[in-house]
Amino acid sequence: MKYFEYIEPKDLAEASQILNEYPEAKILAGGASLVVLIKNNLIQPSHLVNIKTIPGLDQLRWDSKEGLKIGPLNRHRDIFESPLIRQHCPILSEAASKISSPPIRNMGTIGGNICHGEPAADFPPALIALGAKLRLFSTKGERIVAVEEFFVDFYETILSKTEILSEIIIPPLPSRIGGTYIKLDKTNNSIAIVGVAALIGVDEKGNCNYVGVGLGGVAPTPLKVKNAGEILLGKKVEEDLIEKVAKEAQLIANPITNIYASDRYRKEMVYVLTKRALKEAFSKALMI
Amino acid sequence: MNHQYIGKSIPKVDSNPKALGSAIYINDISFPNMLWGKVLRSIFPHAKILNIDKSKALRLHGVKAVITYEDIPDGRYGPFIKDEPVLARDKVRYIGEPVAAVAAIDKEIAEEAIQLIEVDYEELPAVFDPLEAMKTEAPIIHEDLKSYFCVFPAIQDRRNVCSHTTFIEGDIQRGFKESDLIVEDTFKTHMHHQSYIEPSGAIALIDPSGKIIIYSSTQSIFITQSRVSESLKIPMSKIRVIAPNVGGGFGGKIETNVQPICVALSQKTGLPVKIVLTREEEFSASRPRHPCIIWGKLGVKKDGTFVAKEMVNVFDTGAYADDGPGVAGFGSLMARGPYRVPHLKIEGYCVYTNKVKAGAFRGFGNPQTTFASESLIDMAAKELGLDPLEIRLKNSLNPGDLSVGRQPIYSVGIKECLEKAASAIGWKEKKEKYRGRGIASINHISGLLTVSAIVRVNEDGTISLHVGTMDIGQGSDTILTQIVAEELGVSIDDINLVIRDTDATPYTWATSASRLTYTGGNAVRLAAIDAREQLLDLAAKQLDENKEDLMIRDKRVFVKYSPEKGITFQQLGAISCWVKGGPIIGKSSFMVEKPAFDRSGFYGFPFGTMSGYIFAAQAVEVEVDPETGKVKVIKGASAHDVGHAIHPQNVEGQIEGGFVQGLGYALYEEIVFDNGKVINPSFADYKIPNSLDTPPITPIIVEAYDETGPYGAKGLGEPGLVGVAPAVANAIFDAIGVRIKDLPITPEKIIDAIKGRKGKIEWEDFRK
Amino acid sequence: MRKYDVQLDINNKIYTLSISPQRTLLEVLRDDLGLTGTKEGCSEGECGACTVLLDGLPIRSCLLLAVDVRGRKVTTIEGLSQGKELHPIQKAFIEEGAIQCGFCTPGMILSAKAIINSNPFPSEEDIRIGLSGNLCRCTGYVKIIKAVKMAAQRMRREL
Repeated sequence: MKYFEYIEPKDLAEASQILNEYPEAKILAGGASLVVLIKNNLIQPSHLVNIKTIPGLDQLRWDSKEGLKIGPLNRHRDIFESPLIRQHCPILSEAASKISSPPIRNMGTIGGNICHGEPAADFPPALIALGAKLRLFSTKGERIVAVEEFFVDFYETILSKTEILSEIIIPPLPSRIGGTYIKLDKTNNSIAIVGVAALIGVDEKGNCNYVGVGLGGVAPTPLKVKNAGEILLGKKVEEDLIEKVAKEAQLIANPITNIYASDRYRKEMVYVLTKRALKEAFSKALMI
Repeated sequence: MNHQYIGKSIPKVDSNPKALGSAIYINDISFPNMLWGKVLRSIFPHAKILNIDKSKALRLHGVKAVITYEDIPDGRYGPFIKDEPVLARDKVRYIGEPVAAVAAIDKEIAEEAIQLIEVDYEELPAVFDPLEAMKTEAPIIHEDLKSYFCVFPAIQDRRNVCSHTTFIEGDIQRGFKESDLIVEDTFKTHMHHQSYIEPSGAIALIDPSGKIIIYSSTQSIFITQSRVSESLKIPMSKIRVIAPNVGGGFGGKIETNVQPICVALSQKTGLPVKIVLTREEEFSASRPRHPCIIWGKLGVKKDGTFVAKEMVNVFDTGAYADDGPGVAGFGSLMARGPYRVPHLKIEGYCVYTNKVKAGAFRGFGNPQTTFASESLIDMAAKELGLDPLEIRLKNSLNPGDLSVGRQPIYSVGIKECLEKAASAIGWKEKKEKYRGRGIASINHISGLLTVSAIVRVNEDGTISLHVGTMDIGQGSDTILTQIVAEELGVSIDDINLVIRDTDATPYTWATSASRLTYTGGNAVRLAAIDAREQLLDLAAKQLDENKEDLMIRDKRVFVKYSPEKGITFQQLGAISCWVKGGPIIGKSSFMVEKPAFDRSGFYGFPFGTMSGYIFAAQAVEVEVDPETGKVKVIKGASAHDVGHAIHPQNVEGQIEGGFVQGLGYALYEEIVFDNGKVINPSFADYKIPNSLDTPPITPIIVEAYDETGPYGAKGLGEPGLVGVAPAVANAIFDAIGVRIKDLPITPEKIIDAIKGRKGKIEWEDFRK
Repeated sequence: MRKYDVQLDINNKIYTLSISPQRTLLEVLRDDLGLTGTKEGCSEGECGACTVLLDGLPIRSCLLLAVDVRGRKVTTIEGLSQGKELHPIQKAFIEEGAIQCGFCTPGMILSAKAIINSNPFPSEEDIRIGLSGNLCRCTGYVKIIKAVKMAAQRMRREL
């Protein structure tokens, strides 16, 4: 690789400062995506800022009011193994298990997976379904955005030059909830051709009290099926409503044609997968 | 018969260093003052080279040489047609073609330097489809085609066709008239990359005497030697090729890629030069499998008897012929399949296009034509209401039947292969919904060209086996050692294996054509027998006994009826070197010459004779998701007639590995082009199966003892892959009633077929 | 161009090196330390030939900066056997015929070690998942999976 300067900041403020001072600097977390880009000469950073040296960015804690707080440096493997995540949002463990292979899961971080901006990445649909929020830190201040607002275009996010993702927040969910992440891939765990994450919560009466559907691989960014709530909340989860949500997903999908699949196939599959994901989420919710 | 080594799965002779990580591959080798080479490649699929300006690159600090065609002799190479230059001369014919090369003190500088070479191109119209390339209005890719040296009388009867092979037996028109049912269709297969995990590479240096030494990750040290010799016009006596361990080849490392360039750079700089291809270069500029468009027509009787078969196989060989004529010819030869078909007309065309040249890959044309053939058989069976297994058994060759070319084949285990493969996947069992089973049966060869060997008795009675074959993982080093150990009554450890060095081993063609067990085994066996006879002769003299009364066990020659009277190999070795007779050197020079083909129906076939026919049947059970088209392979079974398994565990390994490669060919892998540019040149986008993609596989060994093979053995290397794709296609049809005729079979193609949106494969019979 | 003085713990041996930050662990292992058992197959983290264990977990050494490895333990294939004595996993690979061309073998063996370390009773599914980051083109994985099962069995007996 071409030469770059290497810095180990002691805290986020210093990291953000460096990003401010050197416009061509990049954050190094797991490196699973970043180093590949540098090797392929797609980016040529002047500095790599290794945030793994900053303490506290790999925390994982549960707060009954605010929900699950996940540090961005948690590796995919940590997300998969975490008892807290398995307890509170197992859909995230499921998504983690479908990312690539063990060596990548041992290196890659959830923060990196989100900030890379890959439209077919596996965490974003699950995070969208969970209603997750992202805390973005910079020396100029902090802001919190909904996950689905974070993505702008292929490999482009709303992160400003000096902002760093510092925390992922998953708000508390209803107790009777089920979810799943379904990924259509070529060979096992290769990049998602279409990925759908769905969560359904039901109340004591059997009415839907939570629904979240996130889509990956069918647009320049991960997508939220915004109208899912309108269709399902407060109602019994029945086949025709599930189909309605699936049709919504198909409507908002705006996929490309690439070597993996055509746009037509992706459009058709997002409908199929959304239906399946919702059905499975619902039956899991009923089992609680 | 009870053997000590034959039929035993002994620990392979090369496994220890590989397990320890101490086995040396090309990129592990370094020399003092070694330079790194890098190749500048064409960015246009077809263009004249007007000018190349090296000056900026030469001025970069650390660059020691920049070469273009002007710096090297005008030699062309190629296994069948000598059409390929080391560096492009007048024009470039594919994106990725080497145009210039740089040697620098490190990799980064070399990469920077090639960016500084300025090439002025004049773009020419390009053609990417072989059917288009044969039309009269297509751009001509090789204007000097007729002036190239061909090693066989190539028939070049159409635009951009470098070779046209035809096989005719019987009377095809009569055959179709006599048929009760005719099935006819068009099929398409794709470009498939060997994807060996070790990238190709070489190091060239010049020793103090002026001899060129090449370290080459190759399947043939002698082909490396030959190509460097003819392209750079250096006598072979001045070229030594040494191969380290090779991390897989599957055909892709038979011919040269960077070796001549390394040599030219080394000559220019006087220093060792290493080039190792990047994975991107491997996918876009090496020698993947030929895509093929196949039109096939099969005529059968209503009881399922095969009567007539006509096929036109159009192989897309890319910008240079490479192994294309052989692939087109051999693939067409194998297209009859392991069946009796009285009337045949099978044609193979090898066509130039402006894409990366295609070359040898496990199967060598057979996977392509077999995909069509075995699909057609199932289509016929369906129309006749016959079981696909039964129709194959009915028509399968019996011992004594003839090959295409009328050679009698006596070792024929195909029926047993079919029955066992079918049984292993539960052919007759009840099926679940959306599940299906498919089977395919194939033929191949394992006797081709030559292997020669020397077996020496060392001064201390241990043995040296000199053989030029390359073990690229398929186990030939072990098998050949087993054969020699068996013949001479020595242990595996007593044998010094001298391999991988053109200076130390006699000529062999290549690790190719599944031939090392059969052709190589015969060669080393004969050499060992020769050495044994000399040992017995010398022992007879020493013991003053008749040779016929002597036998060998545990490195000792003794009198059969009074075993206490004997002499050790150690003694014989010393005596031969010091006292009488001279050193014992057994040799053999085994060339496959018999049985010869009856070539009366052969036109433009680029090989001499072939033998060692091998057979296999591959069966698979799949489950198809009717809404997504995703195919899950539930289980596979692959039965191979290997004559006699010299190392059963190794045979299984080859069967299993070939099967998984076959699944990749059928379902996942494809080199994708956009106007001549490979757009998925990485493992990220070219997906080979991983451990979660592979089903349980049952390897089955069938042994139809071949009298002409060493200990009855025949070959195995390639067939493992050949029938898998049609077995999968047949299983998918069985599962959900759609037949996909173009590879790879993707979920999207299945959904398109289910929804009636079949892709049409364009076919126009251009022969009219 | 700055270089960083780092101490790398490779196979329980400490190496003090002066390394440029853009160099990967793979490059340093192979070119600086002569540990060529770890291979380069694709250089972009897809094939697994460069697998080493970092604090016991398999990672892509072609994607890891060498300067980023400080304070952590690296195990390469050379660190597995005790001198010439083969590790049970290496023995199992040899006996089960799990080695053909051998290029994927070092990475495969290390991934196998990680599988068995985390679970002495790995199921076939566990093994397939654990090996899914190591591509093999020769064997079809069948005998490799068998070898890992055999090794796990033997290593349990040795406990």
